[in-house]
Amino acid sequence: MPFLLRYLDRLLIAAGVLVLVALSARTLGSLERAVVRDAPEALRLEGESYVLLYSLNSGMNKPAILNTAGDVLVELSGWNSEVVVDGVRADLGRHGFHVELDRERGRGYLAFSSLPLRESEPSRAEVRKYQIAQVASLQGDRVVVEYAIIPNEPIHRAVLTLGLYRWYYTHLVRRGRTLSFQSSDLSRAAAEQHLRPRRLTPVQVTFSDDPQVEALANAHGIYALALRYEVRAPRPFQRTLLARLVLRAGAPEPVSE
Amino acid sequence: MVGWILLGLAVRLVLVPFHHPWDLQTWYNMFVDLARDRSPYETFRDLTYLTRALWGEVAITGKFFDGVRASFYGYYAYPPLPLLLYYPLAKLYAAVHPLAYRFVVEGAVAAHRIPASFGLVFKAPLFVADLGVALLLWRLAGERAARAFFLNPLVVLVSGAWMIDSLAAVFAVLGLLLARQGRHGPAGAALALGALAKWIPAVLWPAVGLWLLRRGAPPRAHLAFHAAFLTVLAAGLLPFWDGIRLVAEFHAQRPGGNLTPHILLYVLAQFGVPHLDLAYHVISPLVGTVTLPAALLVAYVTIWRRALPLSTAAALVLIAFLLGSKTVNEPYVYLLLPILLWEAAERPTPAKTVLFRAVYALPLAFAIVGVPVLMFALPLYVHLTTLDPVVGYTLSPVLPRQPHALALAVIALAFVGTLLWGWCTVLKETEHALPAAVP
Repeated sequence: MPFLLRYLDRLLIAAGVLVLVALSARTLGSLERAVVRDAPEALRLEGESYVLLYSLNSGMNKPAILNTAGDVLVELSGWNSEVVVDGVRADLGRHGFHVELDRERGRGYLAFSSLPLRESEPSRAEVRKYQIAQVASLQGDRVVVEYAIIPNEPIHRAVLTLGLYRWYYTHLVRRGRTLSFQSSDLSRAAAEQHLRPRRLTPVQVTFSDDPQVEALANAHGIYALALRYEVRAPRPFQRTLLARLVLRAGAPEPVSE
Repeated sequence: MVGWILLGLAVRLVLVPFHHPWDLQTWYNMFVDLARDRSPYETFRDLTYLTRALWGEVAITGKFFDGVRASFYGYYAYPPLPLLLYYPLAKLYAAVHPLAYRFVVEGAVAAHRIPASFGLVFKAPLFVADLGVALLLWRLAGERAARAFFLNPLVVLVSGAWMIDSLAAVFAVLGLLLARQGRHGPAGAALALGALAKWIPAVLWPAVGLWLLRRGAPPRAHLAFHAAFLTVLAAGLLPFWDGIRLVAEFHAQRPGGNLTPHILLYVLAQFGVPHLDLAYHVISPLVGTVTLPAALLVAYVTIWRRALPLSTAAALVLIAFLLGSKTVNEPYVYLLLPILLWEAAERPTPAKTVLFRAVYALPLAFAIVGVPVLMFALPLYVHLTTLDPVVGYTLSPVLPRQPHALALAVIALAFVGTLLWGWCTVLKETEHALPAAVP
């Protein structure tokens, strides 16, 4: 004990150095993992019936809505959705974006900001300051997606065209505000090779108001629906609802040989 | 008697159309939530996630807003008792007036056109609670103290145009009165109700417990007091546990500021000091988690070691709270005022009179400069005009930022100094009372 008390300071310093060496060795061991670890490319929000997939390094999947079998039911595209604010047009993929997930409650919050547009445009003053806020919530047997605009300065008119992608829509039917179609398990490439799907999922998308709906098609069929919403003089600093979509899907059905 | 009560009520009625814009938004939307049977804690959560999404981009690129990243939306972050009290009022009000949510994004000035009648419905319980505190104080300290409280400018401003602290104070002061009367069970229940209205009265619980111990109260008195406090508190919190957790996260993570030394970070930001995010979002909350328990612990140890009378113990622990808390908004001082008046009536000294004046006047001055006071007229302005004011994210373009920040810092540091002096003054003046307090 007298020895300990006499050399307490030196012992503490030595112990500190030993701890540091031990920690450094541990750090060196895990350095390789730290260096090669990639930033995540996508975020997944999983619910009982659906999965929302947000791509972080591209303008696609904002989000893609999947069933639990992993089949894409519909993709809300960033690249192929566009917003026109006081005459300045830009697709959502060119906006800055940020995703926050409330996993416990199955809600995804995605904000598109016009800031990068202002910084890249030669005449910045023409690009208004605004944000588009998208809230997607998994609510049991349905997915609800809402878009709102938040101007950070007065704007007169905003038009949002939503691109709903699905390579390819089959049995597409519109009744009033509801679109019905079949979603297969095929990827785009597989669908274009006319491969036979293993399963089909019946899907319904109901949308708010009465937007113009335009179908985009190529030689293989309809691959996108563009829904156009407009709002005039939204209040600065407040959320003004632009669009609301409700998606419901049935159970995947195997395709018989 | 009737004269000063009528005068106090009249002044409060004059203030009904005035309100702190952001907090008016909170109370109005709380009514909307309650009328729709939706928990304000869920709305708070929803807005918080949305805010993080909206501000996430800003954190990377800056320039959209003046200031630093917002991690939470400033909405209902209080205990649940006010929700229960206001629930029937919200339902009745919604039956007469259609209610719709009105939120601005975090950081913007909330300039909403809200019906004047809402102010009266919302504030009536606060005025009753103010009067309740005054009448309880009358019992504790005499009419002079009650009048000084009821007509106090900070008290009038807080209840007339700002916050719900009177709801907490009326239960807290009732709890202290009941404890002094030896009605230990009701005292514990009343203190718990105070803590269920705003968190601050919770710090009085150990103070009263220690006071009981030093008085040599019998075990059944301790049992009644603590059991009543814990039972009522648990009954109030458990049904809202999920929301309470979110509120606790908010209070733990929020950066410090206002009437504390943490305001220096705000000053540095106004002088263009870069990279304050770490200090603001990490160091400041961390410092707060150390200073608040430390200050309270010192107060409790002092109460125990010096066997302080109840009023002194209550004053000391509230001073400790204000010294240790990383954030002290002006209304937080409300509860200390009746306690200081009580303490001054029990052991009057000129220093305590000066202390009371400084303790209410400095936060009032801070509000006048900081809010600033003209902003309380914004709801009335919006109501009377047809204009939709687009006032932006802050008033910083209007006010000279650096002198404004310096003025606020000077007031805040003077307040901290006053509290330190108040700590010493209260203890010094109670030394003579020490023998009487020991059983």
